[in-house]
Amino acid sequence: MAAQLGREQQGITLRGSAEIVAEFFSYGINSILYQRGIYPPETFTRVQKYGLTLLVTTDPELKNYLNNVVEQMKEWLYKCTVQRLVVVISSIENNEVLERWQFDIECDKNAKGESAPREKSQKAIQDEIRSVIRQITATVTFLPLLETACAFDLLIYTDKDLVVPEKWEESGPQFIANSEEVRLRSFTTTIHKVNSMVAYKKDSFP
Amino acid sequence: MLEKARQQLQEEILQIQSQLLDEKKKREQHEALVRRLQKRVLLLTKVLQSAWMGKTFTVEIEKELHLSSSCPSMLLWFGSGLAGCDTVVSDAWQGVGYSPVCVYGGHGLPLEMWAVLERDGMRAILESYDSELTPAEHSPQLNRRMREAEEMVQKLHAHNAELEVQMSQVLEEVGSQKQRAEMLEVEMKALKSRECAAEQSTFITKEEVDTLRLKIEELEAERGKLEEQNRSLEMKLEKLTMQGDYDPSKTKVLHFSMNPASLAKQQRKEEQQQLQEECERLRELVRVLEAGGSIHGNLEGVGSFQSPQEVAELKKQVESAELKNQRLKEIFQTKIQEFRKVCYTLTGYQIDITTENQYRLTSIYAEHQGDCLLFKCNGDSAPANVTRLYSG
Repeated sequence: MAAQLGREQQGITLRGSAEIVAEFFSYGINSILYQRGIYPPETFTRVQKYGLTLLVTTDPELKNYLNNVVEQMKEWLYKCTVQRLVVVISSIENNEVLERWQFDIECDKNAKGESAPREKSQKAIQDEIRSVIRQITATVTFLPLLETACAFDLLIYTDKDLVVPEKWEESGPQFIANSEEVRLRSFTTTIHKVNSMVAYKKDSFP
Repeated sequence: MLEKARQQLQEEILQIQSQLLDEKKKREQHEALVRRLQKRVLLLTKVLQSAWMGKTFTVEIEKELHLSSSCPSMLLWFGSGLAGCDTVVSDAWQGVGYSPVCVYGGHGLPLEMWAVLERDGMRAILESYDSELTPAEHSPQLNRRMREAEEMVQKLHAHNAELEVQMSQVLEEVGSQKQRAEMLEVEMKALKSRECAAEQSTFITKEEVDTLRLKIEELEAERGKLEEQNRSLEMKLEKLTMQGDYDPSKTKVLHFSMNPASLAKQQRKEEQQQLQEECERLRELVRVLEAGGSIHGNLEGVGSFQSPQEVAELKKQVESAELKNQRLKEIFQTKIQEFRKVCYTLTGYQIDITTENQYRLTSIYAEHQGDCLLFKCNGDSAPANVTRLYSG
C-alpha cells in the first residue's frame, strides 16, 4: 500500500483516495486496539507510518480479519457506497457496548465520473491523517478505563441498496446506552472526507 | 392645502360677485340710456311728424352751432352725426378752443360720456325745435336731420344690441362662474369630506398598525422560539449522529460475520457450557461422597463424565503409550534372541526355560542331540541348589 501511495504523487484519483482511506482505517483500528488494550500488547509490533511509530497486530487471525474488512472497505470506498465505519468495543462478559469509534465518510460522488486527478499533495493528506491518529492516541487520557475483558467489532454503514457480500451480514447499530461524545479531527483527500469521533459510556461513578 | 384652495375659491367667488355687480350696474346704466334714447326717439318722431305735417323751420347749422357753443358736447354729437361738415365742425371746435382731433374719436368715448353728449345734444335739438317751431320750408334739412336721427337711433340700437350681447355674454360668464363656484364648492366639500375620511382612515390604519405591530412582535417571538427549537434539534441530531444513529431508509449496517466480538462471544459460550457441565459432574460427586457410597466404582462412574476433550486427550496418550510399549517389546525380543545366540556360540551352551523354575542346559558338543541337564530352583531361587536332572 505504501508503495502505491508513493507512486501517486501527482494528484488524487478515486482509486488512490480509496486506498489512502482504507489504509488509514487499517492503521487507525490497529492503534485503537493497541491503545485500548483489546489485545495483549506483546501481540503488536512497531512500524513507521505517517511519520509516526505505530503498532500493528501480529495475531494471524486478527490480521486476517482486518485485511478482509479493509479490502472490502476499499471496494466500497471506490464505489462511494460506504457512509461510516465504526469500531465497537464491547464487554465480553455482558456484551455491553462501552466505546464506539466512529468514522463518518463523506464521498464526493462526482469523482466517479472524473478522469483528472484532484489537486492535493500526498504530504498534506498524510499530515492530516497523522493528526487524527495522534488524537486517537491522546484520547487515552480522558477515556474511561476498560475494566472488563473486551472484544471489538467493525460495523460498516453502507447505502441501503448495497448487495450484502458473502460472509457479511446485517447488524444493529450497537449504541451505547448512556454515552458521552467527543469529536476528533477530520481529514480529506478531496474525494473522501473522514470525520472522526468517539463515544464512550458515561462513568457511572463520577 | 385644502384651506388654501378654499380661500382661493372664496376669493374667486368674491371677484366674480364684484364683477357681477359691476356688470349689473353697467346694465342698469345701459337700460337707462336706452330708455332715455327711446324717449328722445319718441320726441324726435313727434318732431318729425309735426315737421312732416307742414311746419317748416330754418335752422342754420352755423347758427345752431353758435347757439350751442356753450355746450361742446352737442357739437361733438353733430360732428359725429354729420358727415361732410368736417371743416365746419373743426372750425367751430377751434373757435371754442378744443382740438378737432378729439371729434372723430367719438365712438371710442366711454358710454357715460356718450350718453351725456347725446342727452345734451338731444335737449339742444329739442330746445332748438321748441324755440323755432315756426313753420318754415326746411323740410330737406329736416329730412336730413331725420335721417341722421334715424341712423343715430339705428346705431344706438345696434350698440344696444351689442351691449345686450355683451351683457348676455357676461351673464353667461357669470352663470358659468357661478356654476364653477358651485362646482368648486362641491369639490371642496368633497375634499373636506375626503379629508375627514382620510383622517378617519389614518385613524383606522393606526389601529391596524398597532395590530400589525403586535402581530410582528408575536411572529418575532415565534421565530425566536422556532430558531431555538431548530438549534436544539440540530444539536440533538448532531448528538444522535455522533452516537451512531442513522436513517434506516437510506442506510444499513453491515459487519463481517466472523468478527472478533462474535467469536469471543461464541468462545465464551462454549467455555460457559463446559464449566456448567464440570460443575454438574462435581456436584454429582459431592452427592455420592456425602451419601458414603462406594467411592471407587462411583468415581469410575464419575470419571466417565469426563469431557469428551479430556477423553480424547487420554485416548491419545494411551495410544502413544501403547505404541511405545509395542516398540519396546519388539526391541527387547530382538535383543534377547541376539544375546542367546551369542551365548550359545561363544560358550557352547544353551539355556532354555522349560517350565517355571526349571531350566534346561544343552551343550553343542553333546554326544546325542537329546542330551541335556535339567536344573530346578527350590524356593530360594539359588541356582546352586538346582537339582541335577539328566536326561538320556
